[in-house]
Amino acid sequence: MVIKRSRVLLLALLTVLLAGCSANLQKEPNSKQADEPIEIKMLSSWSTDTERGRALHLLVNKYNEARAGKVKISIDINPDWPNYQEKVKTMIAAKQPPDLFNYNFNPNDLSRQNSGQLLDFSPYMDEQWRSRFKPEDIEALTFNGELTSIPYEKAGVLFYYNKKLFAEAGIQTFPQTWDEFFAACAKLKKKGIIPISLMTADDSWHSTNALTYLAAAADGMDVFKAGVSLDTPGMVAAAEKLKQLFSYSTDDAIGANYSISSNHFALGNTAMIIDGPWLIGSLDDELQKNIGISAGPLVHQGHAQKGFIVTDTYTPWSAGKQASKEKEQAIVDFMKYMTSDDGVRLMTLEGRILLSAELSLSEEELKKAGPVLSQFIDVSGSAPESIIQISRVLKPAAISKLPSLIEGMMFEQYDPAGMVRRMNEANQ
Amino acid sequence: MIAKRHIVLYLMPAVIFTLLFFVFPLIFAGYISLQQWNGINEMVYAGLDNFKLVFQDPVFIKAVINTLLWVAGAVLLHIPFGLLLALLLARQPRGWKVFRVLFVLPNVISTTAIAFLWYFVLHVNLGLVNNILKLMGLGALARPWLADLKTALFAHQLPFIIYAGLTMVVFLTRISAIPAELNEAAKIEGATNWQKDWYITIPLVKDAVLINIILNLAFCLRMFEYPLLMTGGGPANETVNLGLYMFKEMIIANRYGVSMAAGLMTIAVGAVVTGTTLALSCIMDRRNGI
Repeated sequence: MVIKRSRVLLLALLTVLLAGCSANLQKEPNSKQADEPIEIKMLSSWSTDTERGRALHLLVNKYNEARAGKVKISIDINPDWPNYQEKVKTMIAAKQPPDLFNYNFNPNDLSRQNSGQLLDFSPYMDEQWRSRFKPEDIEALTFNGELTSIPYEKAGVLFYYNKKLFAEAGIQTFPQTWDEFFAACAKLKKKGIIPISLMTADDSWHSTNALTYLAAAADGMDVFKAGVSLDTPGMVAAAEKLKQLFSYSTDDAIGANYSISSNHFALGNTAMIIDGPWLIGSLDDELQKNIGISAGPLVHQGHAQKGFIVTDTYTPWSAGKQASKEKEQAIVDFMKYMTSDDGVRLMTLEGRILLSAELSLSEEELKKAGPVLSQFIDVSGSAPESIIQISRVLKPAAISKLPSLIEGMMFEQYDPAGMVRRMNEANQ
Repeated sequence: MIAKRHIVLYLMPAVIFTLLFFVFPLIFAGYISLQQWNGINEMVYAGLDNFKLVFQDPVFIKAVINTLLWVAGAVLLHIPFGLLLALLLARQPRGWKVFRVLFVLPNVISTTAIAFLWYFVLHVNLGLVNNILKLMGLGALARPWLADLKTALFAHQLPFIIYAGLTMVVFLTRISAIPAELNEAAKIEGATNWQKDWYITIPLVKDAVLINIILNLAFCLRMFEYPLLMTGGGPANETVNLGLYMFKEMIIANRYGVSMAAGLMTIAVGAVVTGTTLALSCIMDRRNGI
């Protein structure tokens, strides 16, 4: 009796332990009642304390109301972007991809596309839907004839400058060349104004924005193209100028993170910063009245066109392959809604994000967008050419090394040429 | 007499958990360390390439050295500081219970919160340290503590070194077990407090020293929050340690094989340091005839 009881207990224990290992292995039941709405879970990092998070909720609520009883989208928020991306990767690796998720596209990291777990939107990409996007955006995200990501966010990363501080230093317009830019920095510094916010922690975002502008101004828009060596005289010159730029930044630029660096600009401690439209929400109304937005300066005999800009990478939406055709169609329907004129208008005006999809705003809407966002839209829209920010296009191994390489250069552990050579080696 | 089957039954949960959550992950980590894998796509067998890459990477070497410096910080600064606090509180000065709680309190607060707190305490412009220095007329000493190559390593270890509450509790527990007669006899002989500590208390808390070394060794080997949140491993990899190296290789560089190879090396470093500590302890015990 005792033996039997022991064996039963042991068996129960093993069952409990192993139950967790077999969870979720079953396919989604196909026997759903016809009257039950199709549930789609959307992963997002946009929490509702941000403008974009609130706008996304509004958009989803509108969609759920319009498809009441048929489709229900629910948002699963994970504001920690790296953690969110790791979760997505784990789900794909486990062959349980999320219904809907977004990510930073990197042409040097096609692991998601190559997984075979993502839904191919190309059969659904009719002329009407295709016309919502720029052809080059669709082309950039198409691999082996499959479109597994829908272009969505592609924000410009532009120069913000404080006109009031510029005026104090006697500067009337934003510099058009890097020589003028450094002359303006010298004037600002002479007046006791710190010219620009830079940082080196995390992904060195504000510093690598400057490096991208400097490199692209010299070598053109293909400077970071896959397979092209980064070790060029133009890149070395860009690194030298970046080093010089740090002498015009704050005391804490080396080691500063994004919030420290952007706060300097938001508090009026620095005269310039290079950032995306998400910064606008951090600037108070009074400061916004004095903010100018500009494209990148040029260099003498450089290969960039006047008005060129740097952009963040595509942050497209992807979906996991679905066993149910109805669910697949519901996902496509929702993506069409998100990228429709109404959806894009809502996300741009309420969420203050700039999207890949076509959008024409009236004068009144531009005015409603606020003084900074309207300039942002204008400068982005009139750019003759653009380049994706360096931290978004290098190989992941090089991306992980870039911040420490910039710091090493600043501490004279190697010269700018050494920094570029190391970056190029890491990118092989 | 306990039946053999009962022994097996009672041991089974521990054995199963150890196999599932320690042995299996270790074998899996060993397997991945031999693969080239980005976390999503098929693994490609890479032999010992990941280990070669790790050993040839100066950042990894720096990470090993920094991890050992964390251990050194624990042994040479944190544990002696904990012992000092324990010796002071063992004398039961006025309000000693309040101080005991205050010293232990930081150890029950999230390391993340403490890392952020100290990030701002040591910040070049906003930081308490630099502002106090300026108030005292010592502005020339103010510096970016966490972004200066000369100070970053020690500065980001500082919260760990001074928050020695748990280490102090381990010592206090051992000190409370020392027979009161020994101290009373010493007092009658005219020994000072310092002499009592040096000749009676410290020799009798040697086993607590070993416990503290092993506990802090484990803490230092898996240290991650302070380097990540206070310095991000910078400036110029000056504060990168093995935990952060693994994280960056896995999450940012997408090189799971390299990360696992570094993980196995961390286990090896831990085994060597722990083994050396235990061996030294045995040798000392033998010398003392214990």
